[in-house]
Amino acid sequence: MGINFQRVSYKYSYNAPLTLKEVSLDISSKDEFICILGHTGSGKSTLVQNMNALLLPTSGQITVFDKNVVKVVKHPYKLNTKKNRLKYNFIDNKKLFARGNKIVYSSNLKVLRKHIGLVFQFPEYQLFESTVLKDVMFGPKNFGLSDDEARRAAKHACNIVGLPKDVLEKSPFSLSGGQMRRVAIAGILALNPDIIVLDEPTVGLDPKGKDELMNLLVSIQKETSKTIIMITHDMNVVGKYAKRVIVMDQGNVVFDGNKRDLFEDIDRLHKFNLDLPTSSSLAVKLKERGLINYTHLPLSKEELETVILGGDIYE
Amino acid sequence: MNNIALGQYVDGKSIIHKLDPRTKLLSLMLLMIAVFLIPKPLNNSFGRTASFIMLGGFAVIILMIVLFTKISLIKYLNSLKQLAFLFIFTFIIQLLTPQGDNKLLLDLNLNLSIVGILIIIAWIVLFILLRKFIPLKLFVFLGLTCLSIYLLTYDLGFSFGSFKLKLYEDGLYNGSFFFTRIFLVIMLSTVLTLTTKPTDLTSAIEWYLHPLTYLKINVSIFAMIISLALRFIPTLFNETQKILKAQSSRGVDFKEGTLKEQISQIISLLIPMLVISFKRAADLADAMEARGYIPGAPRTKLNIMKFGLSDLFSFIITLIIFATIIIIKVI
Repeated sequence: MGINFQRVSYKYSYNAPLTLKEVSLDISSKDEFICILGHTGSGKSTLVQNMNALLLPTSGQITVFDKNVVKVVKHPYKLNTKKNRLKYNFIDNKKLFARGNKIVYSSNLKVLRKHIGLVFQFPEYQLFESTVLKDVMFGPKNFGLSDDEARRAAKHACNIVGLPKDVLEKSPFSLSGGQMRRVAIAGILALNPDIIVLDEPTVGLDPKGKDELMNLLVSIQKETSKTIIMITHDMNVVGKYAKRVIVMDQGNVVFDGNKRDLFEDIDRLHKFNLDLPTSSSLAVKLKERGLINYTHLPLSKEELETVILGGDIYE
Repeated sequence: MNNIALGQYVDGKSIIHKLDPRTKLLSLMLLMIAVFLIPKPLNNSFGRTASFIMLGGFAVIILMIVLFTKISLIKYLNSLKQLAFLFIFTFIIQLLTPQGDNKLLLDLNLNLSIVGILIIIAWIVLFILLRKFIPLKLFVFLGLTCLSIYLLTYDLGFSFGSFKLKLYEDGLYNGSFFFTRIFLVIMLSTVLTLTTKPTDLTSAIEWYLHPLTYLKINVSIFAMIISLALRFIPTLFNETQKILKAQSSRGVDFKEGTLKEQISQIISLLIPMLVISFKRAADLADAMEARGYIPGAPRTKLNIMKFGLSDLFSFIITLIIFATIIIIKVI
């Protein structure tokens, strides 16, 4: 279950270099909180867009909830009918092999996008409806829900992201930046996806908004135990919230595992051009002067507090 | 996707690339006018030969210019391809227009019979349905057209009228004359767009419009508007891609759905784009003001256009060609 990448490569155009180089990943559909790190141009966004079939892999196999995303060539004309397109581009493994693994032109990948909700960077720009509620309802309605069902889903989603009730009938353009982002995230949550993917959700928010958003994501995960995948540059967020970390470098996955393993090997960390969370670097300095002692490196403010107060971190 | 071609400019270091954009613009304009000034083929054989010799001469000159640019001919052909319809249309119109009394090449009596027309409609439908499988579509289509005309010469039953299809010798000459003329003009304009950056072109136009400042018209503002618009095409294109993807992940499928759905889906793209463009424009205005831009105030230029020796040389050649044509025209 979940998302499975097998040697997935991607390039943007025919003669461009590979943006993803034979990436293999396995992401479960429950209880994961994954942070994807890597500097600009390392292929993070491309990776995430491949999960959602906004980009289709150049080579390799992506399987989402036991169904294959089939990369498609325009050639077999007979199969290039509307009916066949629907059938072929997102089909069961068994059917795929039964049909001799034919490769067909695709355009409809809606089914897959319902499983995986992708929130883009600066999602507030995608708002367009006259009221907040209508905008949040837009997604569910596209996936074939009736007006009533969509409204219910939208109200629920707005409730989860903590939008006050009186905002729902206002124009989304009259809201503050932080609230607009909540509306945009609610627009994805209303689809009730199984996996939520966010591309730098905290960028451009003030520290309070950042904390609120992260707490929101944590509480969503606690309640629904959905997998959350997010791209971030903020090591403090990684140190505090991530359960698993994926580091990308020049299209390769160079690290995939526990955040503690990543941060405790400082040489490797510097090789990836990454830093420690602020609390951790403070802890390292304090330990150098013999002021505190710990067995596990504290990764967040809370853990540092525990260590300073003489406790220890238990996994 | 990140580097969409702005205009058609192809980077290069040829003589044509290095020419001052002002020279290039004026010279190519003069050459275009010259091509248009070539007299139409007359009814007698002497006039005909003269016009076609002049056209041929221009074709050689333009071919030389094209070769000087050192850009592959495929690029030129691509820009011609977009106008293929115009070429063929002009040719056919000229071919079918009778001009005075001259030799008939073809005189066909076409029967408009119901059976014949049904067969032709069936062919067209078949052609459209099987379009994807047919190689060399254009030739197949032309072949079908000829076949249809041939078919119409017979009365296949239920005839309800007839008309005469007449092709004149002059029509053929005129057709090919206009065909070649448009071809040459488009080649010339393609040389300009392939070898000149849009920004250079704008500054050249700005320079030529300079006299308008005496009429209290501010030319530099227009030039600025054009260059800014050009500058923002790729930016807005990227933004559109982003919004397109963001809405796709909300279940929008821009290719399918009923008309009503499609309209709402396009609105979901248009409104964010409008908002983004306004925001960008406001940010840009602030940034320009912060860097001291005052509309209409004198500005220095980063790339100063230089009128060099090669410019003078090429301009003189152009003038000679232009003058020759004028003289021939007058005589």
